[in-house]
Amino acid sequence: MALYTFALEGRSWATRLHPMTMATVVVCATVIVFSTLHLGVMGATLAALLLFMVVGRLPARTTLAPLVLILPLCFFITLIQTVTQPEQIVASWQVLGREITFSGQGFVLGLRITLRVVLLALTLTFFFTVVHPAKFTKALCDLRMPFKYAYSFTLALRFLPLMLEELTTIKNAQQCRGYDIDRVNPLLRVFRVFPLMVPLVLIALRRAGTIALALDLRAFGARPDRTFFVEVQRGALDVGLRAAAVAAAAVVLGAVIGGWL
Amino acid sequence: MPILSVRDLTFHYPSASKPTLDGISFDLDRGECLAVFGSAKSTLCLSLVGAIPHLVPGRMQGEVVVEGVSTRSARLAELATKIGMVLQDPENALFNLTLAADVVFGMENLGVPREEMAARLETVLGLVGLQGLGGRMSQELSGGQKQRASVAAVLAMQPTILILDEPTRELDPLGTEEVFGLLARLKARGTTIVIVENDPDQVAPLADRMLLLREGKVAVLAPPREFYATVRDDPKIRFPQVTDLYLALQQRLGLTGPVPITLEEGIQSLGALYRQHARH
Repeated sequence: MALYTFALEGRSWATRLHPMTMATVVVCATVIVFSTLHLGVMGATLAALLLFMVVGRLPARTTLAPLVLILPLCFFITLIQTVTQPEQIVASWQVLGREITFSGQGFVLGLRITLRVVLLALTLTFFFTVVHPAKFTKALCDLRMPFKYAYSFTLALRFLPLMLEELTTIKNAQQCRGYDIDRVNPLLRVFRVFPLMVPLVLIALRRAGTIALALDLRAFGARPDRTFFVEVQRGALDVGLRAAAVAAAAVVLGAVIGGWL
Repeated sequence: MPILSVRDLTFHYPSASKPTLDGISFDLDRGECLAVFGSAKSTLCLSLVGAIPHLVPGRMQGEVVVEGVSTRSARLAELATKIGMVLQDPENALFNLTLAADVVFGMENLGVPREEMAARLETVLGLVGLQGLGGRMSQELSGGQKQRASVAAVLAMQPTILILDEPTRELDPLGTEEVFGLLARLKARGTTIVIVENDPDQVAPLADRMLLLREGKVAVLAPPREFYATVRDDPKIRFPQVTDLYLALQQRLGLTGPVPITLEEGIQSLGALYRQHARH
């Protein structure tokens, strides 16, 4: 939620970028990190993203906070690679009659994959921080995407926090009746969440029906020549950023195909 | 010529054995306010706004005519410029991220030019008392502000008739006061209002006529004073507190004057009674 609040308030020049510029940056960064695990390339990509964050005066706490959520995944990836890779064994232990090995190469590979995940998460976080959802909808419509599909992005952003609120309400209601999901072990907690999903899905379906009615009452999709209150403009900076992103992706892709990376 | 005309309106939901609305007929003049009580209120609202027969499955008979246009033949988008509906839960009506985005949404769908949208946005936000809050995120607004915002979103489409289905059901007393203050201003500007509301103290001073539906039929359709006098023995109808008090005293003291429906009228009636007793 806090992510796109920044975009709505327009406190940085970065929020005035054309949404498709940020989309291009995201696509190019994705191409780069999926092309290679070369530390230099990924390090340069990370440096470029952090430079964008500093120059664009994006709030570090808000922008980097989602990375905390992927830390368990990163730890898991590194651990799996470390104990499953067969080469460069630096240590081994006998646990319950089985040999557990610690691979130096696996550890490094795990860190590289972790860096890839961090880069992807960071790129997407930047996108949501900088891009105004309504402007993104407008930009998609400019690309001839039908409004009703383009608008679903904004609608999802609006109702995600609402659904989380509903989930908290249901959880509290169940806790009042003695159904506690917080004070159990993590595995049991996963199973205990499922019963909460039933009322949540029912509430979501009912709400979806009412929202559909509300949309129709406001003439949703009534005219093909729909107008937009928000404006999106492309400036010189947009052209420069797009060109730089595409060039970087092309160079890395070319280097990988050419066998230099 | 009435601005809204309902003729023999009957509606069957697919699974229902009996019609939910059964032969409803009434007319509404420009600037009039009609309060609706009883059963099938929401179904009536959906019929007035054209969601029945266009969106809600079921069998509709009879006719609803809005400013000379039948809801059967008109598209919902065409009706949206004539009649707008405010839903019970404003969370469902404010589906955009900011207040301004919600208010302009309907205008965008109707293809209103950007400059006109900006002007109308400013006007309606001023009208509902939310000026300067256009950039605020919808979910950060208070309950009363959200409901006023959903009214603003409908008003921006410039309908001549406003339908409100229990607009204060989820609001606290302050939020309820805010919404009714707004409705009084709108009525003073000549907006025709149909409201489903269970708070008699708020709705009685606002309504010109009151409609009671029983088993889908029109049981009572009368001005408030006459309405409360007619339904005085109906345990399902809540009265304004001052009316309740007056009716209780009327039986005990044999009062004969008109039934008060607002606090001011109650003070006058009871003041007259006090003076009369003081003289004796």
